[in-house]
Amino acid sequence: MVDFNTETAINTPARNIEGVLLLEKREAFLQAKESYYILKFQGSNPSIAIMKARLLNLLDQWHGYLLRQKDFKFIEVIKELKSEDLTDEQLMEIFYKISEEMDKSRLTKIDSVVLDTTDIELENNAKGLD
Amino acid sequence: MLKGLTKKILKKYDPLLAKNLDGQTQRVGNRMASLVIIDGGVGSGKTHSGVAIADHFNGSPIDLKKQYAIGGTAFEEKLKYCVDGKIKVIIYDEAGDFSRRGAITKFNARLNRIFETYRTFQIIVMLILPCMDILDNQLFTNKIPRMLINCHNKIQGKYTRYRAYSLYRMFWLKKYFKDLTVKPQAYTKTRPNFRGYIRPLDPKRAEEVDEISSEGKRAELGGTQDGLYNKYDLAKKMGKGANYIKDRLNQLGVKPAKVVKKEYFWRDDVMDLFQ
Repeated sequence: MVDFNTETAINTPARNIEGVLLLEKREAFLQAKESYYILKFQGSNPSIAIMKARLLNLLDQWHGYLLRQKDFKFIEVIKELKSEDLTDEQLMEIFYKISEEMDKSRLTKIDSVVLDTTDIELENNAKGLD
Repeated sequence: MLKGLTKKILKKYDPLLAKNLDGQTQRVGNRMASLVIIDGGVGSGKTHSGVAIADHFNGSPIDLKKQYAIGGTAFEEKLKYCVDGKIKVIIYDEAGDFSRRGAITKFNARLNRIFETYRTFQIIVMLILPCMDILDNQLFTNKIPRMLINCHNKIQGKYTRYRAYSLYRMFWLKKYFKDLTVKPQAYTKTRPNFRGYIRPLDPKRAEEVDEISSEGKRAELGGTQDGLYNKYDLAKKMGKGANYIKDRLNQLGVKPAKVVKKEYFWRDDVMDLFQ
């Protein structure tokens, strides 16, 4: 694609765009969670509706990926979220599972592996020389 | 009584090296090839260090008469013996004859073939030579050498200093060997995986090693004159007929560097003309 204002080529892979959207949804959920817990710790009885809706949003954004991965467990979770009354703890459990998946697919993985270079075979293998 | 003694010595003074050597043993146990190269300048303590390391692999002092070979021909013979006897390690000292310069010779082709197939014998081969850069590139492409130990400083009777490189870093070393004018600087340009000291061998054992090593080196010297080679030496090195060598050199108009009692001697760079 060409940006006609600057006449430079713009080429953003769909994966990156999708990744950013997913991270936005995740951030939105965390903000809802923060508001929920502030109210809860202040002694009021807040509703988890916003948290639930935002988690549903996150999963819907990820729907295509889940289908391709044939991860029907999460597809079931989407159905459950839509129908059942869940507690905040159950919601957080689902969120942690989603976080793990995001980590596996390198969306939220920010730490890099530290290689022990004093182990010669470890280095050889890490560099594809096994 | 000596069993396991050298193993303990390495473990005690150089646990890092011992750990990496054990890694090689494990690799060989998984039926994968493992070639350990030891290089270094003249008198840098390569042979003694090589024997100490081989002792570690073996778990007990190696039998120098059976597990220590000088030159490719002796190596081929002794490898056969070691494979039959299910021995864990063999040293190929003065491996300079297995060089790129003679890469197209039958001898080198045969050794290349051995290195490609020996993994099934579950034996660790240790090459001792002055510089790893002379080795055939094919060997590295086949990922056969796993570890390089560069001996670079020896304090007689005290220790030998070494630098250890992985195969990955050996590729970088080769690149620097190609690029640099002062070739040995390649070792300082490439950061080693680790450094250390190898303790000297027990004096009695060191004497034994020296005796066998110099005996073999004398045999290698053969009929050479001041580092020159006659047609028989060249034939042996290149795996060709002696008369063919002489005729070819005559055809090319290469004059001998020296003539002693009607016997012609050439410099070793004439081998390049046969490639």
